[in-house]
Amino acid sequence: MRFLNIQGNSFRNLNLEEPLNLNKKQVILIGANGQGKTNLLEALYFLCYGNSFRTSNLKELLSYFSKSLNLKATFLSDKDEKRQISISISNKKRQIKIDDKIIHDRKQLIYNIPCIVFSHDDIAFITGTPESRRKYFNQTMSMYDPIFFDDLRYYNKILKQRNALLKKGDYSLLDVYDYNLAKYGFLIMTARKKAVDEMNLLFPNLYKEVSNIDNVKLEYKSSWRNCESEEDIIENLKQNRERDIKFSVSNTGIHRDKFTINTEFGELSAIGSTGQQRLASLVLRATQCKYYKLKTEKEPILLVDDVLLELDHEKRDKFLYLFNDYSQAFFTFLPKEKYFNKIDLDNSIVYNVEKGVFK
Amino acid sequence: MSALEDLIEHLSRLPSIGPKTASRLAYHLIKTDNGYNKLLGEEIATIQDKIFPCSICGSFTETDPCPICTSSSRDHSTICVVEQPQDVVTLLSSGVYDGMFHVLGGAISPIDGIGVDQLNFAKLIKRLKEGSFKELIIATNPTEEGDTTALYLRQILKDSDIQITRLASGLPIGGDIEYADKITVARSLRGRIKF
Repeated sequence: MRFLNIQGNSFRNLNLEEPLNLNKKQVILIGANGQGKTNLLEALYFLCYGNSFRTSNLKELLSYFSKSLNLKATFLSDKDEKRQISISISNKKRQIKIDDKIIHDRKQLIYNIPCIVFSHDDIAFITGTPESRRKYFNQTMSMYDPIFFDDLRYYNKILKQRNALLKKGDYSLLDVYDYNLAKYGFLIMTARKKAVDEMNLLFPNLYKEVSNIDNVKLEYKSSWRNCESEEDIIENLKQNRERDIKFSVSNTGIHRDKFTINTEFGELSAIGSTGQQRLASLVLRATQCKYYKLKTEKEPILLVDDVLLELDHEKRDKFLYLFNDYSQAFFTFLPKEKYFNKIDLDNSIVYNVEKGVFK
Repeated sequence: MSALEDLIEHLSRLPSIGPKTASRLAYHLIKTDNGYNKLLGEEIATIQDKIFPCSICGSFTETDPCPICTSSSRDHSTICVVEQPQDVVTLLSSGVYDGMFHVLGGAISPIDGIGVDQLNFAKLIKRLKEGSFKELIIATNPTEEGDTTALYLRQILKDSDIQITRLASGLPIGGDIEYADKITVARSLRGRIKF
């Protein structure tokens, strides 16, 4: 699986009137800040998932003074077929096409090209709110499991309806919503338990190899404590109903689950140094890649945005050696930076990026 | 040309008609022969007088009660609960079902302000009490809202003697499992029935 080329106009500052060749295993983008390196990564991500990893406001993707944008890419599917994906925005509406056929549900898009971004914001997986860690695990599991993705969507709909009832003060339907919340919540909870167990076969070893710190583990703490079945959950919801009514919100459920990263001396978010936390966030991303490959036997595309900057050369090479499990990778670097000690130049393209132009 | 703008504005309020289609339709109506426009206008103006919801089941009819509710050849011991009047037409056209209907007028969705009181439940309960129904078939959509509505029906009828069933959902007929998408297969597996 890999991108062969990308073309388009009015996506941020990118000038891609002519198709830009991307047909190599490694694509290296070199340029000063603000020249458009990350914009290209964002454009590729947008083609994979129909949204951005930097903003939820589609308008921000348009270049100054333009009201519409077009992006188009040719990619090689996992079956080695040449396919085309295109997304346009006009009149604030997004239109997605695969091989010239319009796609209506984003679900049909997101399983075509699996891609993983490594960005500075990933540090939030370690130091951020419980929600940012849930986001990481949701993403990791949704990537390989469309059923998990669907169950999560369904759960969130029921949750919204239940919260709307609580806000309105109408409690007659709570039993019905509790039943469905428990049914889907139980499926998600079980899937999360299993995923964390399986990821614990990968993460600790990877982290040890780059940091020499042993016994760092992922832990899942479900909000529905001691619940082993749907019935247990329904009972738990009943016990918490008074509190839910008092605060007009659902206080328990998989939307309140906690994930932690534990060392022998406590949670990494509390006791780790900035360097250790930064490294752990990178290793979480690497785990995402490895786990995806374990589950699907396919290799994802990586978009690595500046994050290697903070590693010394030894760690950088080690890191790269650790995950060669990608089908294609895009790296961004600053000018005059020595990017890798060992790079397979035959399998790489290097572009210098200046004002949205790639040479 | 405010007459034209008004027409476009009004046409674009129709479902699945955007401003572009509305203006295409409006220009078409200007060019079209006068008799057709008059006929269409009259049909639109009088449709609500001619067709209205049946006072018993809620499906659209030209006579009240509707021919289904008054039919002597149909089975009066089975009732099928649907969300919309259109669903009655779909189920009728299958030619397999010959029982009664009840239209709820939508599905439960608190976010959209649709609760039990906004739907036609009270009349259904009354019908069930007064009639001699043996089976109630829930034919709400397989969506979150339709599922909730079905669960609510099951809850309020749990102490009655009426048998409650729900339409099967899963693999499409004539489709090979090989070509069904993963989610359809997963849902079919979860909803599997004793054979």
